[in-house]
Amino acid sequence: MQRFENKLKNRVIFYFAIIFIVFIILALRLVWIQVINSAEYQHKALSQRVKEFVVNSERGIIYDNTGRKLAVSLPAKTVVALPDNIINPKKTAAELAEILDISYNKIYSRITSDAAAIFLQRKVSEKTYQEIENKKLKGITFTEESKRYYPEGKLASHIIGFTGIDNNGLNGLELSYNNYLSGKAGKMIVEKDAEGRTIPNGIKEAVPGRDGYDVYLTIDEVIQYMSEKALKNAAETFDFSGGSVIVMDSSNGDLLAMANTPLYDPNQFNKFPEKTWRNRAINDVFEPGSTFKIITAASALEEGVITENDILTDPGHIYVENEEISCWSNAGHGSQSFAEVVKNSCNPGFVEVGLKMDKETFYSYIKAFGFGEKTGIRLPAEAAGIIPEYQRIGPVELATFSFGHGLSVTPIQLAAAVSAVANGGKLMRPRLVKEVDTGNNSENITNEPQLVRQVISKSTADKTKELLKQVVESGTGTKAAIEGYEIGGKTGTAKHYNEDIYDSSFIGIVPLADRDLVVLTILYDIKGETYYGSQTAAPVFKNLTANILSYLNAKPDQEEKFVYKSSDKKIEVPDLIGESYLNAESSLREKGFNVKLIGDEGIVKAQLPASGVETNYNSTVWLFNEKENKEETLISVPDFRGMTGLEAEKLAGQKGLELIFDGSGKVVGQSVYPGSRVKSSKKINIKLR
Amino acid sequence: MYQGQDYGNIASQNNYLNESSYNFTNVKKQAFTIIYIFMLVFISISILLYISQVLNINHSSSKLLQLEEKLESIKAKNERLEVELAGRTSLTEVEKIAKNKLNMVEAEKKETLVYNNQFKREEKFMADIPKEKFFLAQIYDKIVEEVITVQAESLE
Repeated sequence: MQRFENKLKNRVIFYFAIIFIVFIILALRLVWIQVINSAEYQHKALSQRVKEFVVNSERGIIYDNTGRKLAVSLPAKTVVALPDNIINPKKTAAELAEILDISYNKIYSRITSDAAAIFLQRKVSEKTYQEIENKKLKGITFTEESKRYYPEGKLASHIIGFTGIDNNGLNGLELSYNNYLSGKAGKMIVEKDAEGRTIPNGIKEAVPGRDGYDVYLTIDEVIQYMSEKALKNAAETFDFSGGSVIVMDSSNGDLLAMANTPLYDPNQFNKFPEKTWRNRAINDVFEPGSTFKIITAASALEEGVITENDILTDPGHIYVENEEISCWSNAGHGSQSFAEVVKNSCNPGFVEVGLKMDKETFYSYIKAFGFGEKTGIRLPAEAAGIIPEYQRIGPVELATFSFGHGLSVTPIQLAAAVSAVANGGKLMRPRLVKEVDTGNNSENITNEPQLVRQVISKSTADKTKELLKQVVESGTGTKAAIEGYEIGGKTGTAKHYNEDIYDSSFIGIVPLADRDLVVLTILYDIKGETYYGSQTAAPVFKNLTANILSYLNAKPDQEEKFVYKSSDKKIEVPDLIGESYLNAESSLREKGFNVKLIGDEGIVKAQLPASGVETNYNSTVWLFNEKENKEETLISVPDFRGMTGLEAEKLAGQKGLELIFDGSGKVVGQSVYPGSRVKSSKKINIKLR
Repeated sequence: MYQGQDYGNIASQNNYLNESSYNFTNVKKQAFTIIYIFMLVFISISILLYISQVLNINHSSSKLLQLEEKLESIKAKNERLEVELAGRTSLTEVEKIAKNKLNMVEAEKKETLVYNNQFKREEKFMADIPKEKFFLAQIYDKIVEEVITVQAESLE
């Protein structure tokens, strides 16, 4: 009995000892967890409860100049699959394939993958989200992201551009102003319970981000709409591949509209061909044709090589280094003043003017007007235009430049250059963004109007504007005329090489009460019988401009109708040989002549026209301090045929040519072919009968 | 006869003594008990109030979170509606409605009439000369007045 009791006692002690040891171990483990290694477990526990989120910054809004939103950001749901939580992958994939535009196999392979979470489709529409939500699919959840919307749809799509799935700008202003629009992402640390709900009064820390800045444009939504509609209407009448319209405020370079066709919808840009994304007014170049004559005229007037009253001749063509350059009018325009040359858009006339300027002068004006370099409008992939290298320019190139061929410009360059003429010679940088609103008034980034340079004087600019007004009043641009408004402009038609395809354009200066608008319309790759700028682009300009004037409440002036006044006064060129440059110039200017001095100061050794010639008031007299310079001067020979001897002599005198007559009556033959350029020293034999 | 102790009396004496001491300690004990109970109740109530307060705060915080979420969703909805409104009032939509629903057509010819309200007023400018200062001017004015005033005359 005693033995049994001892045995029992020992067993109890033994078990107590084991329990004691177990407790000791547990206690030690507890000390290990709670004291020694507490930091690690604390961290683990915290990371189980605390979730860290990236708070995406909201992309800035793009506004037009009237305050309408052109691009905004809205929250959108992204469909996320949690493969471990999906109970029936086949059924889930089938149901999702019906709603989402993804194949069953693709969804199935994704939701059965090893990933913890996988995006099925990002930024779905509200309708799609509701459909999926109503199905209550296990393992399918949503996360919120920000999506870019363009409420105006296709309007100004080429200017605004679009963003990619990650809200980064891919085109247009969305790309070039991405740094301002995108902002900086923030961070949020929140304590959540087992079911993922936020624990009230739990840990909540935020590293604030910065929302994107809002961008205010100079674009006027209504004028932009009118411009796009004008191109759309033109597409119903003419056969062309696309068009561009630019409406610019010449006083500050503000772009009120910049439209291109074909259009695309930036909300679904991937459904449109890539070529429709191009902003042709910025990215593409075209041969300006006769619209470039505005630049030639302004440069020549500024340089003093010509005045609007100088007599020029057009026998239908002109020869420059054996290359024949034809006028659009086969018969030619005959003898005409420079004002008429502009009105008739006469190519040989402009070639003469272009060649009167030397290569260096004309090239420097082309550059000064901003051609051959980017305007700095801050839109992606702006083209610089193509102006041949200085060394590669010969007389033929110079001649073709004078009427806008042999060089390529971007529509924005042309609009900016003509704006300089409209704005008293000041070339302004085209402005598309007026202000970037940072949310803090003092730190707002204001894009002030920028004067690039004064290209020509105000008087030259005003004179050029007058010449352009008569083009619309009674020249090639009559189809652009709007009753009650003194519009000046120029048509342009450029033929593609070896193809019966044309680029037709019209650029007009539209006067408002306190500023001038410049409106450029271009129709690219126009086919068919109607292709001249005067027949195609000019009517488009007229319809658009009439709407713009009505929208801007610009009242017509019915009382005062513009009529170009040319002077009929004739004056005789005095003899200036032997006089000093200074005296000769002041004497000529006093009499009402324009003077062009060749060579630095000195004594007048030769003059053009010669003394005694009766010529138009305010025409140009060239003075040379070396006789050889005059003799080397090339003069284009008019077509004297059909004129009387007196008429021929008078015209030859005005041009600076010398004739030798044979016979009497009317001119039936001349020793130099009309349109040829001969040295002024060469005498031309004229046969009269 | 041994008269033994009156145990009953003693007992009663003892009881008396005992009773008084007992009563003293009893009162003391009772007082302590009451204090203990009071303290216990007080602490319990305080704890309950604290817990209720914490629960209340938690409840309010949770409600606040819900309201914040609701506000966010309403804001998002509002933004969405604003964008929808902008889309519906865009010029393209307005034109579509005008043409398709209201059967409007574009004017073939537009005529602008300008109402000119800047008429030239024919005003008589009188010499603003103080009369008392210029006596001659007064005489001149009177003469002019006499000359230009036409009086109706009788047939006689």
